[in-house]
Amino acid sequence: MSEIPHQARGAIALDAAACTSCMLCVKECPDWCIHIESHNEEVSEPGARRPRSVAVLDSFTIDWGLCMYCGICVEVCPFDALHWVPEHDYPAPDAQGLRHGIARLEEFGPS
Amino acid sequence: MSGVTGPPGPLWEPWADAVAQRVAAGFDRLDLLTAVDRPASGEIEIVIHLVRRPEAGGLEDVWGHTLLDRAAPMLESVTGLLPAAAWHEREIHEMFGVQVSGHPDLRPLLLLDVASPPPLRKDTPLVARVDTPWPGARR
Amino acid sequence: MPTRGTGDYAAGMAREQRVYAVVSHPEVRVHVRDLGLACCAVEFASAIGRGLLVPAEPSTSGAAVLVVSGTVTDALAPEVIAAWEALPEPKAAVSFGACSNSGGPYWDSYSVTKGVDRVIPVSTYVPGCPPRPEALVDALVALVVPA
Repeated sequence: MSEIPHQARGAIALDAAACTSCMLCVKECPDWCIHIESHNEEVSEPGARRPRSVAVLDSFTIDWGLCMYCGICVEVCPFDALHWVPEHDYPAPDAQGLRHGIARLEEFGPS
Repeated sequence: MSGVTGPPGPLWEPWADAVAQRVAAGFDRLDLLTAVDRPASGEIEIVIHLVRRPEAGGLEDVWGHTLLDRAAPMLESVTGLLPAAAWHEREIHEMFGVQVSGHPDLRPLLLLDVASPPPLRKDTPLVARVDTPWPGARR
Repeated sequence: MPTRGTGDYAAGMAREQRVYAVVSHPEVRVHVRDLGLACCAVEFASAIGRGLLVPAEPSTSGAAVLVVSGTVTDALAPEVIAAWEALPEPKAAVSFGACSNSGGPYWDSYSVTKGVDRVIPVSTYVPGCPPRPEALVDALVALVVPA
């Protein structure tokens, strides 16, 4: 039996708290397999002259059926919200099941 | 290969005669026969690379090219001189929409049917990309 | 003029049905036909090379599994259908890798079928480009052993 190297490119995990919805990964993905939905909220801080606008992540989806595991999204993310994990056991009974949202991508766990 | 000569020089015209001349000079091994779509100048360029093996050893090669009218491209087949050109010419036919006169069997090589418009013309849209909105365009 | 889509090519490739035991799940025996169309097929071979699957005696029960690994082109799609139809019941198809799942990196190509499920029914989709050999075993076990 083989040991799977810890750096194996099995799946890409998401740290949603680190994601700023900047869309860099979506724009750079050659396969168009990442989709992000977000909206802006205004945050008022005591003493600030005006409210701050922050992007709030609504959904983050990777379609593993399309993904070519090139890792460009991991490379371009300025906030290290994406990282490789060696996980390989996630087949699906239908194509829709290969579209993983925030919860499922976070389940892949920390690096 | 040491003898690659870089960009092609003057046009080979008429095409089949020019190829025949080089084949007669011993360049009888076909390495490459393909096309380049040049929409800006309204031409389709045909490129050929021929090789010969001198008795002294090593390889010598020659590049040739010609230009076709993009609106009605017509190429003389060289399969009579170089049988190996048959598949290359079939590919040029289906991918660039070039008619090849004198070809014995111009069936599509890789596609089920000759698609219209030809897939390797630079102005042929990729249908899937037209139908699918780019996810990066959001926001 | 020879006709296309006779099924000779793909059916020939998948003619040989091999029986493997899954080393990590000794009770699992699979009758597999490997339809290797591109580089993902190497990972199938690797599953055997690395000892994840070992040749076994045929069992009387169990479905035949067609593993489609690699890029399905429109020109080859009739051959894939023929290979599927040539397989005796009960049977299941595993789509192994991004190309076979959806077209993968070639999803926008003029010549690539956008997923083998456009032409045959697929029971299990294995993600990866390519998937690891272990992912093939994961999928075969998931197919044979109910969760």
